[in-house]
Amino acid sequence: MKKEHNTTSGEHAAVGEEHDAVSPVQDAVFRTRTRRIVVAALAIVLVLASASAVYFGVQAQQLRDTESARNAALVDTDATDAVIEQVSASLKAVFSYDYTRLERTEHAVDVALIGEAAAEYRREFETAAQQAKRRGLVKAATVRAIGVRELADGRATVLVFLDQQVNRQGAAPTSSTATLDVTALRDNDGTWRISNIDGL
Amino acid sequence: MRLFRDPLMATLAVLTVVAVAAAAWFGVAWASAARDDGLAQAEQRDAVLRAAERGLVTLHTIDHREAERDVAAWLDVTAGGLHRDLEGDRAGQVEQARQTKTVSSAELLRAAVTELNAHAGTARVIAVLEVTLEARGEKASTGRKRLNADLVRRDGQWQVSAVEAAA
Repeated sequence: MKKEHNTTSGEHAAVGEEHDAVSPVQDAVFRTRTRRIVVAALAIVLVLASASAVYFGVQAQQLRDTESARNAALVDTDATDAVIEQVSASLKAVFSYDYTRLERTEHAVDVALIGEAAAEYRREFETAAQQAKRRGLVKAATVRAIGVRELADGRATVLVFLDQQVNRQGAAPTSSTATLDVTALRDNDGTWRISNIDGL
Repeated sequence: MRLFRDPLMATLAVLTVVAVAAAAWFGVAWASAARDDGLAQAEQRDAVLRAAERGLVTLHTIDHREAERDVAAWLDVTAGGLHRDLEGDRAGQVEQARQTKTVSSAELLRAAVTELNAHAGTARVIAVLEVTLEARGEKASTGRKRLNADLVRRDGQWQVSAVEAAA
């Protein structure tokens, strides 16, 4: 009874609990058979699990690694709001000037603009400043509408409708609206600075 | 466990454990990506942009020779108040295009979503269009148009519910 019990119930023999009660030949035959079953079972589980891991991994990657998913505009609402707030304030400061206080605008340019945007602005500022002084111009810029198009890896592209009202001494004020495609970069302290301004 | 003193068995067992753990890990990653609100929001944002492009371009496209078809297309891309207005004045729009011999086409230059409530299915967009307009046999003129548009989602489709000139 005991022998039969051992030969039909594999695990006991396999783990050798009652090893002494089984003959060496029976034990060897039994272990070979059990080994085959366990190896086969492990191999099947291994193949299935590996295939699943690859499939799940590819699926997860495909969901996350799209252009759409990398763009955090309106997804990361805090970052989107920060871009809107800082770019709006910068454009307002940079595109507003008072002929009696032009250094104020120059200071705003130093703080808010970098790279190509700063270089281009400075190239044109001298002429604009002289004209402003000569004609007594006061220009006030307001952001009419602003939307973040792309936001990823510390770089944002922003579409802006900018109103500009020009007040001239002894003349009626004139106003115009510009469409700007703005690129802003975030520096290490989290400040967004404008690196490019394209008029559309 | 004598079985696991066997090198083949031990290797297999370790590999299997690793593979099962990896499958579980990536399974959870997939499930969390599929339910990620951020990814859903990004997808809706881009759906809004595609619908705004299609909608605004369609609403600025009309050819007096095909006015019926073009006004029908306007109705397809609109919803809400704008849809009702256009539907109510359908015959008038067709008639006007024919009388003025209008041919208009448009291209979207830039657009950005300014508000998005993916849950409620409402969004606002700002856009710049280049519109080429020819009327009364005169030479075609091209101009930029700045627009504010509202969109709503109906049966999974975003449609334009209001458009106005931004400035």
